[in-house]
Amino acid sequence: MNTNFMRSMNETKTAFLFLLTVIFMASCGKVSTAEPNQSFDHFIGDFENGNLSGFHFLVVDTNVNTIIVNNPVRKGNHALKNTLRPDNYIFNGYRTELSVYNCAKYKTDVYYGFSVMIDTSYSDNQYNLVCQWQDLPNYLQGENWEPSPVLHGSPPPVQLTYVNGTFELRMNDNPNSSNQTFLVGNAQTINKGQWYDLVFHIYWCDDAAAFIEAWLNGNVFTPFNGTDNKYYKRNLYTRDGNYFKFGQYRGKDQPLHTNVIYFDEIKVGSSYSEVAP
Amino acid sequence: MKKVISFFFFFLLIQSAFAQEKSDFSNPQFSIDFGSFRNRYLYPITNLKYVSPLLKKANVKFSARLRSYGTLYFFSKSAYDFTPQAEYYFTKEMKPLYFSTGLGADVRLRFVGDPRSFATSSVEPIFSLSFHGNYKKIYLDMPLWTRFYSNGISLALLPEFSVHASNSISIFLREEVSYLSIYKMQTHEWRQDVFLGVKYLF
Repeated sequence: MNTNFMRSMNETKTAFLFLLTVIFMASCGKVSTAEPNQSFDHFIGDFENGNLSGFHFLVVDTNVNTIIVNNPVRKGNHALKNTLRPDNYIFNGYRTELSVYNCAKYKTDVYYGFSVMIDTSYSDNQYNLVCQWQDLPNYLQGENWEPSPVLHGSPPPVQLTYVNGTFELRMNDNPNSSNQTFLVGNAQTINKGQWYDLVFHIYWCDDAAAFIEAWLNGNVFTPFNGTDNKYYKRNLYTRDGNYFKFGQYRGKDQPLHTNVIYFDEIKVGSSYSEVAP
Repeated sequence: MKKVISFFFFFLLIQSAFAQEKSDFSNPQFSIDFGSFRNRYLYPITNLKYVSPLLKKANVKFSARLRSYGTLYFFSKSAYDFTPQAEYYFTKEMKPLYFSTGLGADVRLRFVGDPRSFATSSVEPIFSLSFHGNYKKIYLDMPLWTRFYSNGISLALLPEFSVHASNSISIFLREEVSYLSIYKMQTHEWRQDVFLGVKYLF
């Protein structure tokens, strides 16, 4: 009787300890590294509802810098008029940008599409980032946007630049350098006052499995690699991913004039047909 | 702030000049260090650490480390790690080579409110196994920390080379190499951080 009771007590203790251990382990947090292939937010920003809901803003004044217009439009009845004035300095740069979150995560395969028109009055020849996929701080590993002091800063891993009458798809592989971006494919000559459709297919990764391929008006312009036009290059600085921004960004270089660019049919999805304007 | 830090170091130097012979086993220890070169870029991180003397009855030392992210000035608005530990030493006195093992917790505090962030505060258990060696004024400590998470595990090797500059003060360089693994996804990531710091024996 006594032996049975003791055995039963021991079994209960063991089970209780096991249960406690399981509960404790289950209540722990997750490993501080991003899971691959998470779902991302599909997005449609065609401005047809007459407002800018769904976007995040890096602009001085939305009533001046980001106005919805009826003319010109690429499709439907509305488009976005994006205006950058010489005094539009905000968040450490001359910019007027809209952003879309949760669409460039680690080891995800994503398509982005939009239409863009450089206004005929646009007069600066210096670089202007029309869209970019900006790196994020490694939040999971404790980082934030405003370290003190700032020990590194660099252009985004992937960007589309309007410079001297051309579109340039540029990448950066060095998070410690401000001037080591490189051109992917050839610069594309652009006429002012004309709509252009752009589609990007990007696989986000922090190693050489990452790639980008891009189309302008349906014509691929990333270089042929012998098999297809995927340009393979690491495009994440950390596994916390990037986020998508479009508009105008001049960094610390002040614009000389007020410049206008129109945007329409901003889309994020899983296939070319889902995002093509 | 600069004046306070300068006075602190001046005080340590003066005191160390008149101090008795000190050791990691008999004196409490306080260290500060700065980093870090994270995998591919520089990012500011600071650590403050206290280690108790060896409690000879139990052969146990207690320690606590506070890590601040995004700052070289110890105060962070975004993230801290607090890591208390109890370590059992397999010796009662300093030898050229010895080992210790410990248990503790890693308290991750994350305050970032950005919708792009998926970082959350949490507490995880740590199991450590350490190798310690010394030769004249050169010391090597090599802890291996194992952290247990709900979806995986991390192993971190933290080799620390220190040189005793005086009776009380050591200067050290520490590298932290971490292997982070998620069970279900069969994925892993290697991380590296480097720190430079000063240790003081009271």
